[in-house]
Amino acid sequence: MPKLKTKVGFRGFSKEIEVNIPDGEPAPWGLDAKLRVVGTDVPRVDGALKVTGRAKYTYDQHPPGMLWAKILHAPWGSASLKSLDYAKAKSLPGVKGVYVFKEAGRALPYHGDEILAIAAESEEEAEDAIAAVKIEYERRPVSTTIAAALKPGAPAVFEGEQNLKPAKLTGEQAKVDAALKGAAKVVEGTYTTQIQTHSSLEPHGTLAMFEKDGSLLVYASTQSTFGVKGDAVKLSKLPDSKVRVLCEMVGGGFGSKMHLAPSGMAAIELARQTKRPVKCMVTREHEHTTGGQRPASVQKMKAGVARDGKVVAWQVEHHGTGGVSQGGSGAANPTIYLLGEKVKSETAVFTNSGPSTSMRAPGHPQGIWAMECLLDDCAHAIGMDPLELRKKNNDDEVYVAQWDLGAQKIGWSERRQKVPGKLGGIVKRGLGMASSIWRQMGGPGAEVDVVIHKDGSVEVLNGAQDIGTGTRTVMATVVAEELGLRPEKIKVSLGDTRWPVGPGSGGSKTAPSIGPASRNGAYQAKQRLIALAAKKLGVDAKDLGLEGGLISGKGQRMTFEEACALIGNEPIRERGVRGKNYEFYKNLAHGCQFAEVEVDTETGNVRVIKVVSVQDAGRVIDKLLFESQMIGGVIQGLSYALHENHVLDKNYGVQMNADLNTYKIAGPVDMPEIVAVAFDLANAGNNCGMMGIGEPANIPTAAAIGNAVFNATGARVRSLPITPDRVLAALAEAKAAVKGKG
Amino acid sequence: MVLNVNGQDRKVTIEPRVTLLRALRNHLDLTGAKEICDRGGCGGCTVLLDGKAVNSCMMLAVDAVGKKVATVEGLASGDKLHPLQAAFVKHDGLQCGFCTPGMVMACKALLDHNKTPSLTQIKQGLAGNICRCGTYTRIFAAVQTAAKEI
Repeated sequence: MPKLKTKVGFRGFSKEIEVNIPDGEPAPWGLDAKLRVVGTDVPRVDGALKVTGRAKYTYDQHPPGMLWAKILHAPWGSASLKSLDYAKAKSLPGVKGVYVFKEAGRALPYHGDEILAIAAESEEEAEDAIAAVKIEYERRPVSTTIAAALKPGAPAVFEGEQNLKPAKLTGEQAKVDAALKGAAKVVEGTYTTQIQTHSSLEPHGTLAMFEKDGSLLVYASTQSTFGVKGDAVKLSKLPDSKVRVLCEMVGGGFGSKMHLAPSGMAAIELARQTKRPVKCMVTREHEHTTGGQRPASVQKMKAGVARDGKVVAWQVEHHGTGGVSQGGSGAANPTIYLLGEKVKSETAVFTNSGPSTSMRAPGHPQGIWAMECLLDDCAHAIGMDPLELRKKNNDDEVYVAQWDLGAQKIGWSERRQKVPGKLGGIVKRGLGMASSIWRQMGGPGAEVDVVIHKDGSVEVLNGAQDIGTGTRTVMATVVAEELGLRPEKIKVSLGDTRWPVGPGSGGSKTAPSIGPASRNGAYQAKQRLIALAAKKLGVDAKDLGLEGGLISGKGQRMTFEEACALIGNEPIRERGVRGKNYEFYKNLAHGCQFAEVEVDTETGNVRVIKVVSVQDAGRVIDKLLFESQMIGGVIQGLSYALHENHVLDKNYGVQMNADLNTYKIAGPVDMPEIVAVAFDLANAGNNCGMMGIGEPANIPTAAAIGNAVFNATGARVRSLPITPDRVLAALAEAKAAVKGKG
Repeated sequence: MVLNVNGQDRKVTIEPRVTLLRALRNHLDLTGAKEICDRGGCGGCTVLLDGKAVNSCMMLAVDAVGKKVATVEGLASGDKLHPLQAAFVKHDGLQCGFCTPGMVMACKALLDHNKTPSLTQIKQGLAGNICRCGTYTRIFAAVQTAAKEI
């Protein structure tokens, strides 16, 4: 393992660290590295395909002879399946196969639970057949919210099981109680968040077909081709070598598409039954009810703060619900800040709602919402600038630099209301901020083939997927940097499990796993090309370098294409393997967002005017796409803060807004000005010094907006989404409190 | 029935209940336009009908007979992108790309009717289109650039 020193840090701060680089890997790019392509605006390499409609998603695949499958799903929040009769449906014209998920007698504990799937010659015939299934349900009472599920005698989501699991406890209550006693001020509040659905525009769906030799070919709308392959191997009981998963394009995932979904199981089983290709895409309604969701939370909190702004005690009693699944219902609260003595209890609660799946920074938007709002409450209680209070509780140089930058860009000291809500008039403006943290550096489990052909073309191959984050473009950029070429010269192919292994796109780990593997492959291929050139030029290979399409050194030179012409019949093919992470400057991605809002105190309407987002994720590879991720994170966060809410009818457990007309996703008219500042950090840790930006970008928006609403009005909305009725209620509460004091 | 799509008469044999969107996608293999919400609530299926942006999931194919249908596939000339498409790529007005064909056609309709839209007019012109990845502000920039170039 070669040891070397590298300069890490950012503009305004640097230091040298020693790193142990795995054998055969290039050194990480230091702070002063002169990079030609990395860090610039590289347009998306598959952009042209997407803007012309030529990009083919799973949903767009129509192989000859393909059947269409549709799913019948439970119409009630809780029911048992009394009888199921699909004889008539099966006899309808065009119907070719039926796959039953649940036989009569089974419990259906949520709206959307899959009952059966039918394959037919046309999409319309499949829909007709679903409508013709005769089915009787026996409805059961439901528990649709955390509060309802906790009430004594609440209907059990699963018969014979408690709705809540035993609480997970961390910290010591006695220490927190003692610290609270010594605090200058104690603040408390119960903060809640709603269920958010991923709402990927391409719903879950799969096309399955069995080839003549019995092998299985699966097209999946997925964020984990290899994950789906593993699931398909298990389901089909075929050997690993007989299952291949393809995924050229994915219409969004946001955490919901890590596995073979029920629609995929139906497609495979129906393809086996009918010996025809079968495509099963779920409907929008089904996507909302069963496609996954961010768990709702109730966070009851108490904090003690000292006169100097140091938080001395932090107490959280958290309940989260992932519907019928209890996984992933935790909240990232507390985090980022020191916050003195801490105690937390976490309880997962079953409700009659579709299962949760990981969603963009699981646990974070909801946890950060509650924590950052209560921190503002602490600042308000002692009359301190909320930004100042944060600096008292975290003095990390990256956070401080980002806070200062964000504050300057939003006009924190000039535009913030020094006394919240003090401004006169009906429409009031205010500023708020919040921070994010994300720990994911990527790691082993990614291999990339880099192929240099005799004609000078370069191919890069990996079996994982690009869910729209820009993985292809990141790979092209890294390889182009290493080979001294332009990114558009690099052809990147993704989404075929016959190609080298790659990670599932979860945890923001795809780019920092595949990126460094790509660089390793390019580096190794480059050594071989330089060796060919050296031989031809009669110089030592170590005296030659490759830059800007030229191999040169010792007064000799040769173009990249001339060197490629020296390649024999076999192209240069090198496999870059992602090694383990090594010494780093930072093992986390920092970030903060500042929001300016306008609140109409008569209607309760909130408009976001401007959001400044400052985020790092180690080295910025493609500035254009990095900022796009940041902007997308803000927009999804704004949508979560003000609009989105998965509403269940409390009597029947039916989702009342399982569509895109009444499940409100922020649209063009809701857009504020968004300023994205990509905070470039030379980091080491891997040969690109990079992390992923997908998830952190989404974390602090809701909290920043909530704090801005408080700053504008002096009224605290403690529940998401911040709807006009809640704003008006908070204004009334604030008014009553003032009167009470008077 | 015969549908005039991107300047060509295309014959399709379909049931009367088939929507224009499904006729294009399932019978003519023009898969650019997407069925995302199937309720006219997201604009993913936007095509131009006699130059006007419509949600093709909300109308029957038979109602498009005798009219001119323009889809995203007809916008570029061969490999040369339409200036609007080039602006989308330049400003990264797309991520997963699933809303993009509908967005591009909605922008096309907007610019056809208003060659110099203000930012507010752009927002209003695209009000029927949803993007889940959050590319709106990039798209606004793309429309502003394209407006200068067309």
